[in-house]
Amino acid sequence: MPIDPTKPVKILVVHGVEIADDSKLDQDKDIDQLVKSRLGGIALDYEVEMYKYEDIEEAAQKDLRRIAKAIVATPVGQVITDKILDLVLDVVINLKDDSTAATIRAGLMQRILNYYDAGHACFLVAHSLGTIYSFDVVNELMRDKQYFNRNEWMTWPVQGLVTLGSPIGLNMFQTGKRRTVTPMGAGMEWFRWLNYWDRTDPVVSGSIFGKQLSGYQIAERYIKTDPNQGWVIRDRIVDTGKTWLLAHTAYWANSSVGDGIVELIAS
Amino acid sequence: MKFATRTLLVCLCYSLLSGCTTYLYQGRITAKDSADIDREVIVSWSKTDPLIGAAKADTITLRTACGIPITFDEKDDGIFFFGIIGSDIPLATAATPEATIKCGQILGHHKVEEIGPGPLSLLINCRPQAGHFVGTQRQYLKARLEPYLFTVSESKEWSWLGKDIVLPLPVCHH
Repeated sequence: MPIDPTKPVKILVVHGVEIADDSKLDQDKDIDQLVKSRLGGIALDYEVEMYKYEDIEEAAQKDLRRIAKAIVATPVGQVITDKILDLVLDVVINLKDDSTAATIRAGLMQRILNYYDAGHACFLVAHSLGTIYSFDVVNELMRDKQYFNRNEWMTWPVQGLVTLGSPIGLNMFQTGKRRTVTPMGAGMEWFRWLNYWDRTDPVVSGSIFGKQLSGYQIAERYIKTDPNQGWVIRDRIVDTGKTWLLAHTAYWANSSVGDGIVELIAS
Repeated sequence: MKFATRTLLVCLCYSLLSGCTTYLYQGRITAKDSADIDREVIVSWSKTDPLIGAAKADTITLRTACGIPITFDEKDDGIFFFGIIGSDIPLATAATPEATIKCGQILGHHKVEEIGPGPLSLLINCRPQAGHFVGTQRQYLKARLEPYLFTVSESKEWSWLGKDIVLPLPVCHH
């Protein structure tokens, strides 16, 4: 069933690496609050929901965690707590691109297609590692001929993508199909991707001390001059008001990010 | 090393990495929006100056009361509001194969970090088309050939851990 613009728009939040289990994740509430605070009088019918996958990763991490704990069973190793392992292993799972990563992507795709089948437009707002899963799923959907007819936006299961603090510019994530975006073919409608990043966010730069980046292209590296690509891609530098690691988790409350989400849905 | 000394050192290092001054810049005018209605319009952005390292600035946002936000992105050749073909119609139509068109510009500046309090002029040269999900609510500052002139003020605040920045919003009276 194609999109019905009279139905509420779904904003689907996809979290990044987490140290909590699924029951404690509530970034959907942050985004709901943020969008509400930035509407500025625009009557927009929307609902925010969240795709959680931390419990899937938790289950897959058991063996890796056992091995890691054996390796670090030293006085120094004891400093490496469960929480640090949790963060590192989330990334390892994505990089391994094994069945766990595939399960997470399949779950996200199913959630999007459930909205689509019910006629809801969907905008993805993804953070950190969640941006990698979201990017993969959007591009996979675009490769499926039954969706994303370029000239009929109502056939698009995802209407736009917002990425926050994405590590997609790092070499470790530049593999396989992730080196390009899926071209949409000839047409007049444009798929929009806004990539927000703070100059001192260490997850974006890969610099643990939050070295400032400038003149750095992340999402815009994907732009091709071929109009058949069909994507409008923008890197947006955002000042979260915080530095270093705090910058990576500060996007959820940032006015510019909220304005960007409203701008994207209103376009 | 005693626990208290160690804690103090950790706090000091953390503050050196995260302590900063945040600046908020804003300018307000009343002008017509693209539907020809008088509206309050606010241009705003922030800047964070950490204890260690260079200052970093936000993108510039323009909010028109009851309208959508528009953003000015910093590029090598200036600071521009990029519209999208089909969604934004330029005053002077030019055939272009690209997805985006320059629909506005911050005049006389190339870097947001370098803009301070004082006069700021900007151009808007597109009008919006209705949006799929908000219809004719998709409005912003009216396109015209002459620039709009704002007087920008600055406020600043010091913080050990940084702070969430809230950009001002004009009130929509419909």
